[in-house]
Amino acid sequence: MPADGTDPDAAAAGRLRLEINDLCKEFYRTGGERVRAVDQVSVDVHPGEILVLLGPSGCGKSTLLRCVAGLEQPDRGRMLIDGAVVYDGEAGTMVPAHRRDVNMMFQSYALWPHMSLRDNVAYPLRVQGASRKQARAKADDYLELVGLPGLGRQYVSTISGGQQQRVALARTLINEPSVVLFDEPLSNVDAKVRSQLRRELLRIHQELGFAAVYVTHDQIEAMGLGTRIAILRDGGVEQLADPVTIYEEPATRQVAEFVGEANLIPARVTRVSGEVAVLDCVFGEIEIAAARLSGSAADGDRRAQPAEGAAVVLMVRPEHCRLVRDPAGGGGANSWAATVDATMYAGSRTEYSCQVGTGQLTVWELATPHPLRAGAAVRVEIPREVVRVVEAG
Amino acid sequence: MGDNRTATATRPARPGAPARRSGAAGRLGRSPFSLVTALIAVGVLALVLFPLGRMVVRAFEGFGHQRWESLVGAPWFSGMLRDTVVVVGASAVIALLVAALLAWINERTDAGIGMLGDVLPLVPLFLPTVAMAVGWVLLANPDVGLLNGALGVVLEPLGISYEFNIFSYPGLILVYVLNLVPFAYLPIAAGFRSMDPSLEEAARVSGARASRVLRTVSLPAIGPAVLAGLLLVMVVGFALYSVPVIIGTRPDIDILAVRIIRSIRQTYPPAYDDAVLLSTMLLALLLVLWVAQRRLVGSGQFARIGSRSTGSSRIELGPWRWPMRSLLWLYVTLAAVLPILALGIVSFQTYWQPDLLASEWTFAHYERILFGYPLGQRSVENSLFLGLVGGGITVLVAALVIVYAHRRRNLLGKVADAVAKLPAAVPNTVLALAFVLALAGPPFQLGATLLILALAYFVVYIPYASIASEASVASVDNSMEEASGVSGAGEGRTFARILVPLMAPGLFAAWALVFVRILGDLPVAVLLGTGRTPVIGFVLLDVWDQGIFNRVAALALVMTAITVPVVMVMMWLGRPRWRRAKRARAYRARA
Ligand SMILES: Nc1ncnc2c1ncn2[C@@H]1O[C@H](COP(=O)(O)OP(=O)(O)OP(=O)(O)O)[C@@H](O)[C@H]1O
Ligand SMILES: [Mg+2]
Repeated sequence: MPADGTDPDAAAAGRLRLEINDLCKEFYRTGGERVRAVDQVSVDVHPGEILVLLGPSGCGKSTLLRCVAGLEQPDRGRMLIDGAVVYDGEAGTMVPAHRRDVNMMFQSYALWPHMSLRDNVAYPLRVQGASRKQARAKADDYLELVGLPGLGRQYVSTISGGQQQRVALARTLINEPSVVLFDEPLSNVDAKVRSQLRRELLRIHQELGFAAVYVTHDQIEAMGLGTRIAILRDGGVEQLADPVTIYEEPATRQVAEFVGEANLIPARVTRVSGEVAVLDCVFGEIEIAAARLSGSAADGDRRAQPAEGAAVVLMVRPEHCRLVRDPAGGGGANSWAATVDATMYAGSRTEYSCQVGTGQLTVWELATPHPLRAGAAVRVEIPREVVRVVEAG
Repeated sequence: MGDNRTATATRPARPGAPARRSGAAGRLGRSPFSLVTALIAVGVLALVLFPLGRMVVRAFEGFGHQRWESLVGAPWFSGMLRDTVVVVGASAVIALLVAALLAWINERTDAGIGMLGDVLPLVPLFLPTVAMAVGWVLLANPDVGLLNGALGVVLEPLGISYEFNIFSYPGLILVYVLNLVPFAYLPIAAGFRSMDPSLEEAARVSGARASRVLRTVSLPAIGPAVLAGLLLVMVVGFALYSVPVIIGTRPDIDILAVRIIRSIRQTYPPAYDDAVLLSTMLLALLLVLWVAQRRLVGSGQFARIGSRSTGSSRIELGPWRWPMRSLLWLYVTLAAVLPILALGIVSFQTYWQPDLLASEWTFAHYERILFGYPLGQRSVENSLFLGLVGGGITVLVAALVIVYAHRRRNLLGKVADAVAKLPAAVPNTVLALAFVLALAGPPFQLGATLLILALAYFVVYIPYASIASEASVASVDNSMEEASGVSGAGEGRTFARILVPLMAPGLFAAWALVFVRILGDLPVAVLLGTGRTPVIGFVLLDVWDQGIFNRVAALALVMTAITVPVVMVMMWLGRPRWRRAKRARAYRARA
């Protein structure tokens, strides 16, 4: 009998909605090659939380989600939904999808074309044994909640893609599952509709307070929706933290690269004096906060401070770099003469690609009415506090 | 519900947990639904394999080579083999050419006529085969054939005398071809449809003319589909019974399928041994063809009505457009319109004669068939019952087995899938014989019951239903089912509420097809039907043997007249209600 927090006291409101322990799932490709789609993943979902699974294509997000839903049978590990075991590799427990207290919204919406929208939404209630009348009444309420009042009699083929998404959302939420699963629900509509639906989803989440696991490969969506974000790579969890931490203090170089734009600067530690560490990089000398060398505070796993001479990789977000238009001005620490290689005007900001020494640096300048031309001589500056160490040793 | 609890039962149910979670849980797929499905699959397996197995065992047991030698040495044997191979071989090749031409016109040229064009070559599938055969006898009988009458009016003034004679090799092959074309058309049309039109475009911009494009690009590109069509047509051709029994008997064209039944029905005492050996031979031959066919193409090659290439990429035929288009209509005229017309005319004539102006007209034949003949009415009732109820059950069971096989890729699933399609290679004649031998006598004693007929029809037609179900299941996205699962619905509910409605168009089409085939069936009817359990085919052959053509015509027309409205109603019931709206939307979007 596995030992975990199943004593009755824990069955309070604060109980975890979803616990995943060391879950593994392998696929065999045609030809026999093994793919570790989910590799020893352990995550929890708290009540009212949206946990976002973010990662590049093929990293196993969908597979993990489908394991939670019961549509895919994992190979090893353990899963509890609302405190009840739904999968235990050792005990051989596998609760089928329809007996798990979850519901899932599919990327393709998976609305049934032979039922009216109202019957689509009412289906989970009908399955639970609600009368047709009750189920339909509640379905109408939910259609209204998602902003589609009065469309209950229509059929799927007569409504737009964005509307279909809303119907799918209503169907997913109507039986108030312990955990709501979303597999890239917004990826099939254009950017405008997507951001509108994102806001709507947040509103509905605030109203209903459900717990959710949300798969996406869109970072804006992840940042906007996630209470916490789990970055997945090759089936494993690379970092699990709130959006600000993920962006500002990426645990690894891959996270830094995947979330947002990042300048990655290989460097070598020359000396550490008190608060400040001095390193050597392609730009010349660079100063950073010495505390950064031993890992970020939020990271939890502090690493040993690299010795002098050790190689590290630094990360700076382009919007944290400053561009000084007077090439002679400035001076001091972390300020270098540079040439603008390429300029890309993007409205709210201008993106410069600069040649600094023998290296390249991307700098974003916010709200610039007069972008510089390529070839302009400038200075770039990197404030000491914004430099992170994403790889050491 | 409680006995399903296996592994999770070790954990106490938590207080306050919703019922759907604290209930049953087990290893994937031990639900009552999949248990029932597995049982049904086993049942189908037994029903297909047991009679055939007994027959094959009987063919090889006991006397060693002696029986085989006496069969092969029989004076009629080599002639029968030659006739069969010549007729089936020639018909198969011609049917293939005709089907390829029709498919090309429909799919690749601007002579196609849309949905109607898709349907026209398949019309004969939905008409009783025997009705077509009888119709052609009435049309092209040497003396009194209606066509000959018409021909005489035209030719006699010119001093030419020519007559069609249906009772000949060309006549028999003509009707075989008309029957076989749809079976070749299906895979070939699918082949054309999945072909990349740019291949043809490349040839056209290189300066090739339409006929050259067809010869050098289109036909080679669909080679595999043509081969598949050829094999399918051979399988169906060897199994065909009603055409040779109606047309081939008088000119003594000796066809294997007819020989099998004749050795039981018109031989005294019945030569079961000959029938068993001949059937085993035929079975072996068809199995080889069938395996070859499955090797060459998955069943996915069956054409689906719908998606077609756009008009812009089609070959422009110019002045040839109308002649080509009229070929489609010519085929339907020969395969359906003329034979049915002939049935209609002769069934109302007091005496069969080609001169319509001199004819006397009467309802007497219908009265006689339906009310004056003790078996007539009952046979219609029995056939209707078997076709509607038996056919419906067949289709549902096939759908269940195919869905099971599709989801569970375990051994039972694979075996059930194969077995549900295997009888496609087994001619009705052979299956009927196997049923007589295995189930009619002790210990089952099913002879002279409707049950044995129903079981035989089930086995004969389950491949049609399986192949149709497979196409429909493949067209339903997995997420449709998964969405039902995560909504809390078990497998049974998902099957009934989600899968069956979504598969409905295909299932109803299969039901219609099976219905028509059961209604028009001869071999099963002849071997398993009795005076106590008459079906239309049984009575029809009886009347045919009496030689009263007007009554045969009346009965064949009744048969056809029943199938047409039933097929239409089924197609209407199975129409995808949700698709029409979609098309309307697509038009609006384009506008
Ligand atoms: N049924 C399967 N058989 C074999 N391999 C599979 C199967 N399903 C997924 N995989 C593999 O497992 C890995 C993870 O797939 P998954 O669908 O979970 O990726 P994902 O993160 O959802 O990607 P995307 O963002 O593109 O949807 C991939 O390498 C994929 O090829
Ligand atoms: Mg995915």
